[in-house]
Amino acid sequence: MKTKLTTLLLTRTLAVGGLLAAEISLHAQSFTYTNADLVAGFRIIGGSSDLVVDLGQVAKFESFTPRSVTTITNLTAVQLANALPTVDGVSWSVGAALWVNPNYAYPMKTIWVTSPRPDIYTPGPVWQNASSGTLGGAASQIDAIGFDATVYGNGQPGGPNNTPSGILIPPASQYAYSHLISGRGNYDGTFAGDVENLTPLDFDTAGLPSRSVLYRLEPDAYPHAAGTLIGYFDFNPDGTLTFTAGPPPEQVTISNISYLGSVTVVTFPTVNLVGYRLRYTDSAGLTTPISSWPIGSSLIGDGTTRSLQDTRSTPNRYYVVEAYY
Amino acid sequence: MITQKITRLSWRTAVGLLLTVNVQAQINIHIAGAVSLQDVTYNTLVGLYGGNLTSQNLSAPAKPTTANLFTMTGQMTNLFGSQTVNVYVDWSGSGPAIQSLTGNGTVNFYASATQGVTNLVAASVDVGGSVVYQDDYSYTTPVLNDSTYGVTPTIFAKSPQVPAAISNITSQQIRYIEANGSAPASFFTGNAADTTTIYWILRDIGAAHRIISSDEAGFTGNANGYFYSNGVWVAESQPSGRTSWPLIVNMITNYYGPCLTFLPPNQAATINPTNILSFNGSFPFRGIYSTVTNDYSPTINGQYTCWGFEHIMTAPTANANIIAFAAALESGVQSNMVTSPYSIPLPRVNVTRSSTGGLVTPK
Repeated sequence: MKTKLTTLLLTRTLAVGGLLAAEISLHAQSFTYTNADLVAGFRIIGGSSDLVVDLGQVAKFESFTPRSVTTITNLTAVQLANALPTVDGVSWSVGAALWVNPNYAYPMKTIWVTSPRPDIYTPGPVWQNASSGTLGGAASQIDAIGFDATVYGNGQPGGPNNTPSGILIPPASQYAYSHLISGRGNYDGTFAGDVENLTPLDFDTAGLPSRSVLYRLEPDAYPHAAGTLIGYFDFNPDGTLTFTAGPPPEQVTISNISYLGSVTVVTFPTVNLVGYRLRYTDSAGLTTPISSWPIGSSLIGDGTTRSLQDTRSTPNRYYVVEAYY
Repeated sequence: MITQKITRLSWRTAVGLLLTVNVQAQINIHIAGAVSLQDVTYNTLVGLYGGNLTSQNLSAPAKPTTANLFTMTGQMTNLFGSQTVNVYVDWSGSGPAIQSLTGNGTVNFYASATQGVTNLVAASVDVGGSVVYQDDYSYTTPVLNDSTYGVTPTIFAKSPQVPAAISNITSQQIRYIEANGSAPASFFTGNAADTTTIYWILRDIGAAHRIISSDEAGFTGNANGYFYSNGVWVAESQPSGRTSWPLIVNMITNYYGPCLTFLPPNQAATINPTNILSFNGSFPFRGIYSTVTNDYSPTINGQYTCWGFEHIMTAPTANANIIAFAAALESGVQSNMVTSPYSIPLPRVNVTRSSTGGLVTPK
């Protein structure tokens, strides 16, 4: 009898344990968004899911040291693979919006939006500030991407496709990134341009990142000032996302070369906070990749025309100025 | 001794069985959802009880048809014979009702049918009323049993301090003010000198009429508004605590400041009819809005399009008692709607639409 009772108790304990486990599984943490979080959205035409990723408070991204590179770990390979059949032909953007938030000194309705570069060498549009009422429309729409993902997540079980930092949502859903950013990528007509980048169809093999620059736009009076550049995101062919603080490097045009004895002076326009360095080779090295040429002197750009010098030890030398980070 | 113990045990068991049978004989039905038909629903419930309504506990005993919370007990002999039927009602909004019907939560009800006992009990909803579709909320599974039986317009209103020149609101103006939470009066009047700030007042997302007005205007963003507190207007985004229409009516009727909002018809009946706005140039009714009877021709014929279908919903797992009760409730409500000033029975409506905010077409 005692044995039977013990068995019964054990069985009941196990049963309760099973119920608890089920309860915990049902209530696994779902997607969470807080106002002023940067939120990335990924989608593909004909895909079965959009992917929304919460990157954390935008203040963190504003505080990074210029030219520092941060890998966005909230974008996981598992969720990306579950959401998108390929990284080719993917539309993506990153944005944040400020409503009533005592942690920020910026005015209500300040927004952070991406400007897609057609390729990493070609600049995209420089977004402009706007009136409070104009930015309010986009702010509301950007805020909805994170908020609605939370609402959708609350109605779904937590799990690999619904975590505190990332969630998959069917694109036809009213809560989906696709629905809120709309077909034109302009936050359902509330923003002045297309904030989405589109990876090329050979993206996975071409080896170059898809790059979008993050701007902060604040309400101001007409005529409106240009937005403030915060940094840029690179969505890479391996599915990773990085953020680099400060402006992206641009293609460098050498404006002058002069010689002072054995010293060569290479002059070129710079972009503020971008790193530049001289690479050189002799005739024999011309057929080797530039990335293997020796590195000479370097500087950090300040927006003015600057020079790098090289002391020649051979009669013929070829130079390249490389922008880097 | 042993025999005595067995006898006592048997007696206790017998009493237990009797009590169990008595408890099982009672039918408990929990109703929640949109408030727009609270008057006809109350009258229908009283009708279902007939002369056998034993007791009721109302949050508004002086005017039962406006009670947001109430519990009734008695017999519905036509439906369930002599069984005791307890009906628990909380007009919590469409959202919480659908959430609960899909197994994702509970709603609070008055625990007792004794007037004045305000203890609450949380329970899953058995029958839900909604003015929007299930898929207007994130709780899309399991698919609920859904029957539409009426049409209810959403009505826009202003506070007394709003300039008289503002008598209409457009879809574009709703999109703007719901994104920004406020707008200059000049945006409505066209007079640049009207610099007064007009505030937008919001119910929580559980309110179907908020969904109807947003979808009708084509607004898809995060809803922003203001509420009046301690003498100042405070900005709020996606308010979660504003679950009661009387709170909204309080802000729109008292002289706190210039503000606009949307209301279900029965709540619009509590404000001065001159403070009801047309939408895109049309009113949902003809003439002066009345608490007795209204001519909803503009809604019935498609000139006024900001409206939703009245739905009655049950879970796919609902038992036979719930199904029978829901059918009787729907039938009774539809009959009572004929004389209601706040809603339109479906057979009278000459237009239709396939989704909330969707294209309105002739039937």
